[in-house]
Order: sequence, then C-alpha cells, then structure tokens
Amino acid sequence: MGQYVVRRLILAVPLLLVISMIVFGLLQAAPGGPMGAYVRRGNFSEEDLRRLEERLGLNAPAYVQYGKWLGRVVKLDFGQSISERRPVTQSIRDRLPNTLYLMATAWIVTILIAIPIGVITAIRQYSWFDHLVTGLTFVGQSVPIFWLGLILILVFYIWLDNPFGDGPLLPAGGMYTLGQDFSLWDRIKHLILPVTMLSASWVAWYTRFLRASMLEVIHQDYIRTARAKGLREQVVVMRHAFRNAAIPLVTLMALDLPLIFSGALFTEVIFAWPGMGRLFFTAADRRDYPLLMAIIMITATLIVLSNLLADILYAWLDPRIRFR
Amino acid sequence: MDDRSLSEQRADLFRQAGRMSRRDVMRRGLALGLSLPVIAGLLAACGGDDDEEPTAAATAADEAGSSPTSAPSGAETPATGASPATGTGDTPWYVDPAPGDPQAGGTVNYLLYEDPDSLNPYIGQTSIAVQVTTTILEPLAETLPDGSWSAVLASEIPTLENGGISEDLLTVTWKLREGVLWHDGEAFTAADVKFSWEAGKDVDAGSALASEFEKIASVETPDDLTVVVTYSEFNPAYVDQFKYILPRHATGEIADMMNWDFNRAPVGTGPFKFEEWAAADHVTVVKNEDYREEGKPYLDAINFLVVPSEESRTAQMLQGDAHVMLWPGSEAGDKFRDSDVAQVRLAPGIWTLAMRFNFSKPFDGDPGVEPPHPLFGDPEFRKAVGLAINRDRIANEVLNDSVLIDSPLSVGWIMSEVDPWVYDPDEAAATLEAAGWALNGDVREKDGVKAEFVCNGYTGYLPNELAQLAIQEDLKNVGISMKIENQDFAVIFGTWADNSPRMIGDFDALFYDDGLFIEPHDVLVRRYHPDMVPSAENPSGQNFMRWVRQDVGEWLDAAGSTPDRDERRASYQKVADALREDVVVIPVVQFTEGSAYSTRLHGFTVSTWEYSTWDAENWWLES
Repeated sequence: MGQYVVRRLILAVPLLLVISMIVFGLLQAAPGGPMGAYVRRGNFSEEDLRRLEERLGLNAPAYVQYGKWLGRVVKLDFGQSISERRPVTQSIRDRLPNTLYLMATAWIVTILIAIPIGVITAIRQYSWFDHLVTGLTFVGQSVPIFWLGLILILVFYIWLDNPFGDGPLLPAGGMYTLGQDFSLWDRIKHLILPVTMLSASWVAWYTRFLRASMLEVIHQDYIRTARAKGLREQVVVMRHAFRNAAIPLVTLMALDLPLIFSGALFTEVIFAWPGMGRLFFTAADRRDYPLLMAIIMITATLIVLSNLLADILYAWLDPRIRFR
Repeated sequence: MDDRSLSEQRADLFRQAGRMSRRDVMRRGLALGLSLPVIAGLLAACGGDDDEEPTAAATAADEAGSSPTSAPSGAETPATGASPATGTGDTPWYVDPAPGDPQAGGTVNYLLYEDPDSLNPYIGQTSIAVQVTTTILEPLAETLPDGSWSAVLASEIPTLENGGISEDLLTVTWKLREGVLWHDGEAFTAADVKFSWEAGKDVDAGSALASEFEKIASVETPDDLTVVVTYSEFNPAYVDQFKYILPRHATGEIADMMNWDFNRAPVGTGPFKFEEWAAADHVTVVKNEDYREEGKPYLDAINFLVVPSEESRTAQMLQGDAHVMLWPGSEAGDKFRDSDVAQVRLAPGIWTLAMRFNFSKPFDGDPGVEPPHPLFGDPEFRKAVGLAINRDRIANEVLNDSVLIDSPLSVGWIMSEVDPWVYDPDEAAATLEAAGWALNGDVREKDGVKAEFVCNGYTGYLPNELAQLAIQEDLKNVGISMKIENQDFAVIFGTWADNSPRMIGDFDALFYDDGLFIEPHDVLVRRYHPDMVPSAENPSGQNFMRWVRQDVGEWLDAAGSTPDRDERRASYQKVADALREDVVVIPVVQFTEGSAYSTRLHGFTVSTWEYSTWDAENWWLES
C-alpha cells in the first residue's frame, strides 16, 4: 500500500504541471489583464503604464512568465498579489482560517443531520417521515442557494426581532460583532444563517445519497442472515447495514474536502464573510494572475490528494478492495 | 422578429435603464446573480416601489443642472482652513442641514462593497481604499465643493499675492502648519513633505501617482515649516500636488515601498487613527484625541465594513445598523427614496458621456490626420449628426442619475457655456441633402460613399449601451446607419503599444464617459491640443479625434501659463466654443455621484472633488 501511495503521488506531479500550464494559458488568453485597473483610473501616462507593466513582469512572453512562475512555485513562493499588493501567501493566510471555520462548521452540521436522517428514511421507507424528508430534500437540492440566503436575511434580520433585547434576531453578516469582546454566543449567532444556507443543499444531497445506499444494503442477503441470527435490529442496522452503506458516502465526503478550502462564493458574498471564495472572485475580477494561479493550483492539488485519500479510505473500509 | 417588437424591446431596455446607475455596473461583478428580478422585490418590506416617478436622485440632479457651480476666482483660502460653508440648500452639491449642535461620541458603520487593496495611496488602486485613507492621511491643501482651495497641513495656500508662487511661476513656497503631530506623537515637518514627493515620484518603487510629480525639478526644506518646490515648467495643478503626506519616520526605505508595514497600518495626521484591518471584513479607525481642531472629530470611531452584497448593504442601512453606504445603485436608491432611516445624497459627478468623431480616415494604417474621414471629414455631416441626436430623450428617458451637459468643459470652476444643442431631425436631413448626401434606400450616399459608420464603446456598462441604441435610432431616422461595436475596457482604453483602436486612429466614432478633475489643464491639453494626436513619438496624446486647430493650441497654452482662474476660464471658454462650432465631441449627459447616508448622521458635505470621507471630522451622530 505504501508503494501504491508513493506511485500515485509521483504521478500527481506531471498531472499538476499540465493543469498549471492549461490554467496559465487560459488566463493569458482571457481578454483584459491586470493593467486594466490602472488604465481605468485614467491618471497614468503611457510611460507610467509601460513601466508598471515591466515592473509587474507582464510584458514578457507568456512562456517566460510561466517559467518564472514555476521557478518560484517549486520554492513555495507564489509571488506578489497584484491587486492586494502583498505576498499571495499572506492574502491566503488571512482568508483561509475564516473559510475553514465556516466550511468545517457547515460540514460537521451537515454530517450530524444527514446521517441519522438518511438512515431513518431508509429503514422506514415509504413512511410519512420518509415522504416528508424526500420532499424537503428535493426542495433543498433545487432552491438556488443565493436566494435562500436572501430569504434568511429577510426573515431573521428584517422581519424577526430579538425577543430579549434590541435589534434583529440574527445579524445580517460578518463573523462577529465589531467592538465587542469575544463571546461564543455572538460567534454562533453569526454562524447560524451562513451555515444554514450552506448546509441546506449539502444535507439534501448527502441524505439522498445515504438513503439510496442504505436501501441497497438492507436488501442484501447478509442483512437477512444477521436478522436470522436473532441480532437486535439496532445492531443489524448500525453495525451491519450502516457500516457498509457509509463506504460510498465517505468517498463522497473525501472528494468534497477541497470545497472546504475553496470556500463558497455566494454564501460569503451574501453574509459578508471574508473567505476564500471572495478572494478568488476578486482575483479573477482584477485579473490578479499570481493570486489566481495560487488558489487554483492549491485547489487542484487538494483535489488530487483528496482523490487519493478517497481511494485509500475506500480500501481501508472495504477489505474486498486491494491495491495493485 | 419584426421592427415593432424590436422597438418594444428597446422601450423595455430604456425603462430598465431608468433604474440603473453607473455604480450598478461598476460593481456588476460582485453583484453577480444577486440582481435578478426574482430578488428585486425581496426587500419590499422596507418600502419603495417601482413606479416611474422621478427618484430623489433625479430630482437633486435636476437642481444640479440648473444652477451651475460658481467658483470664486483665483486661489482663495478661507482663513481657518478646513471648514466648509454650512449648507443653505442652494448649492448643487449636498450639505447636510444639521438639526442643532453637534453631539460627540458614537461609531459610524460605513459600508464598502470590496476590500481596500492598500492603505498607501501611492500604491493603492481602488477608490475604496482612498475613502479609508482620507480619514487617516492629510493633504497640504484640499478642494472645497465650490472648487476653491483650503489649506490643511499648509498654513496658507501659496498664491502670487502672498508670494507663495514666484513671478516666473516656477517656484512654489509652502508654509506648513505649526504643531501638527503624527498619530504616534512625532512632529510633522517639511522633511515629511519632501519624503512624500520622493516616494510619490518613484515609479520603480511602485508609485502609481508618479505622473503627478513629473514637473517638479526639486523640493527643498530650508526649515522645518517651509517647503520650496521648484518646477521645470509651470504646473497649473500646483496646489493639488501633495494630496497624501507620508510620515518619513513610520514608513521605510522608498525602494521597499511595496513591502512597508505602513501599507496595511498607516500612520497619519488626520482626524482618525488607524486601529485595525481584518482582511475583507473591516477597517476600523478611531478618534485622534490630539486632532488640531478643538472638539473634533465628533465620532469615536468609523468601522469601514466590507459587505459585498448590495441587498445586504441596503438592508443594514434600512435597519439603521449602518450609516453610510458608498455609491448605492438605483435599485437601492428606490428603497431609500421614501425611507426616514436613510437617504441618497448627491453632488455633480465628473463623468461626461460623449460621442467623439475621427476626423482622419480610419483603417488606412496611418495614425496621422490626413486624409480626412470620408464622413466626419465633412463639417456639414458632423453638424447634421449633432442635429439628429435627441439628447433630451437620453437624459430624461433613457438614463437616470444624470443631467444634460452642453460642453465637456461645462464642469467645475471652468463651467464653459456654449450654444445649446438643438434637436431638429428635419434640419439635419436638410443639411445632409444640401451637402450632397442623398437618400438611397434607407441610407444616404454621396459620391459612392455610404453614410455608414461604426461606433465603438466599452462593454458591460448598460447606460452607455442604451444611449448608443437611442443614438442609433435617431441617426437611422435621418438616413445614417450607425453600427455599434463595443469592446472590452482593456481594448477600447488600451495603449498605443497595444494598438488600441482609438490610439492608432482605427475607428469612426467613440462613445464612452470621461472625466475632468478639479485641475483639468493637463487632461484638456492631452485631449484637444493639436500637438497631442497620438503617434509613435507621442504615445500619450489623447487627441483621438485628430482635431487639429492651431488656435486651440494657443488658447490652451495661454490657459496653462497663468495661475489666474479668471484668465484661464476665458481661454478654456474659447476652446469650448471651438469644440461646439466644429462638432468635435457631442456630450450627452453628466453623471451624478453620491452615497446613502443615515438620517441620524449629520455634518457631512457631499463634494464633487473629494472622497466621501473628506470632512469626516465634522460628522456626528444624532442619538
């Protein structure tokens, strides 16, 4: 297995290299460029623009720029962000904890809700609860999440007031109340709406997935055998059925891991959350190539790694699978 | 699709445009997906409707148009420095009528739509960042809303009368205010001004404002409170020269400017001190207890909150949680119209939407002025185009937040007045007939040349595109076919080296908005001087029209050789008349600019010339 992992990791290098070339090429081919922001300001002379361009290294041919970029990246130096005027690593370091904080919370909440519901709807198939959940999951999957976010603001910020004090029930955005000392409750209050917005579709998706997977397992012969042995229903469901049904879910969750890094643009925009999604969007909007490349490449690396992780977990959970 | 449905579609577009402002589009990226009709009514609980009655914005704008800014002559200085006139309601800019004496205390939440890029204005690029830095850093002098100057870190404005500017106009002596302290307690001295110049002019260190300093030959500091600036040629913008003074002791080596800690934690002399910047979340500035004006600033702090969603910003304003919302779009403006919690306050903007003609034949591989353009080389043809465009319709039906403007020079203290444009399609047709442009089917023709041309603008700015559609329709009515080809910003405003069409003369007509700053001389020279046709030798020329009139060059040179605003205004007036007479540029509208303010916030003045926080020391919150 160690050999397998090493081989996969070595193979990931050329893959990432090709990805970086394609992304770099696409960015270069897109209309506009980092100089657009300067041109737009209108108070730069032609000579200033030239000098700035040279200073930013944007006047060299694309392959030279790519070569320079690669040379720095292998030393883990992602360069200077053009739009934020500081090292790319610092820009990411400022945003990443916020994103991890939000996304990890949403992820945990999702799992805590989705797993019990998925299991119950499967073992109580066609019950009123199953029908209700099925209906809700369809809603959760099909509602545009930005719309949901705005509705949440409308209801919990504009319509509902805090019954124990002044102001609205929940804040409209941000991570905490400015000018107040740290308070866990304040942090939680600020998390509720964005986490709800994020979890809504995740819960729906994971629930549907787990329900289908459970249903398949429950009708297997070995479950009937377990029951025939006289095992308690709880043991049958949790130890025999759920464990096997969870295998594909674990894979799915492992594949979703990069999302926790890359953030969620709509949620961050609507709830003024200073996360990676917005950083990426602003970088794209301002054609901040070094920052864009860094985020895309880190995400690509995480995707490659999480694929590997999914494979490893799969083999670990399912002894029938062997590495070759 | 028949013509009828097409014009119905246009009518729909025009109606939509009534609800769009330039700010909507400036931030179109961040509003991604959030401005769909689905959401439009979402915040309906907050009041406001979509009827076609004029918005508060439009009404204020009309007032702005009917009472042009009157600027006092010369560079006058109010004796007491930065205290703007109190509002009477007669000015085109907005002065808050404070309901009593200022109250001290309170924190203002100021909503920005994106994170500042750097709080060092010499390397920062976004106009967001400057809203913040204006509360922290100070200039030697600032511009009052009427276009006159007011000393800030200087003790007086240098003029010919007070000997601040030498007879040959090349030496300017600034006397600095005594006893000013940096936020860290160090004394502010002339050395800081010199240092700011050294940093500001250094393109290699990353300064983005270097071009503003290029006429300065040297800066000397004979003593701690005197700065002597020597120019290589007279700079009419000499007062507007030192807009951000940096602390020499709290920055670093100039060559290392991009990496200064200062850039994310500036030290200034202004009414507010930098406290904290949490990336993409907020920047907090707090009261400078040692500020020179007694009792000011009134506020304890300002939180600049980064809230990208316009819906969320609007909701926070209407809930009273936030007090200023920078540049609301007109959808948000509708919500504020009937609100007693927040209102939009406007001043005339500096942006004028206009059509420009190429006098030279395009697409001939020659950027020079000869041979003339087959259509626009004919003065009668240009005149007919001017008569055919219904500017009133564009200003009043197609666009919102805008006022009609007759000359691109009808702004600020110049305020040239020219013969008004007349909409007369019959006269336009007659002029074309008389000049030999006869109808051949739908389109006129003369000597085998069809009256067809391409109008280039930039994409993604709906008001611009709608105005083009209106013009297209107007011209079609008189037998001129205009094709609209809009390109990416980077293309249309590209450089000579990029082979941008307007630079190399590869266009028929250009349609976009451009602005004039408080000191417009350099820009006017670049745009209209006969020597400023872009070429390999002069790649920063902006006489894209290739309009060459030697007398215009002489008038511009005359205007640039005296600091006397009356004399200069008279010279610019001649240029404006020539532009009108030759139909070089057809200006359509001027946009208004402003922000939404809580009705509890007082003491502020919305100025055309300074950033929204320019008078933050005067702001106060009503409890």
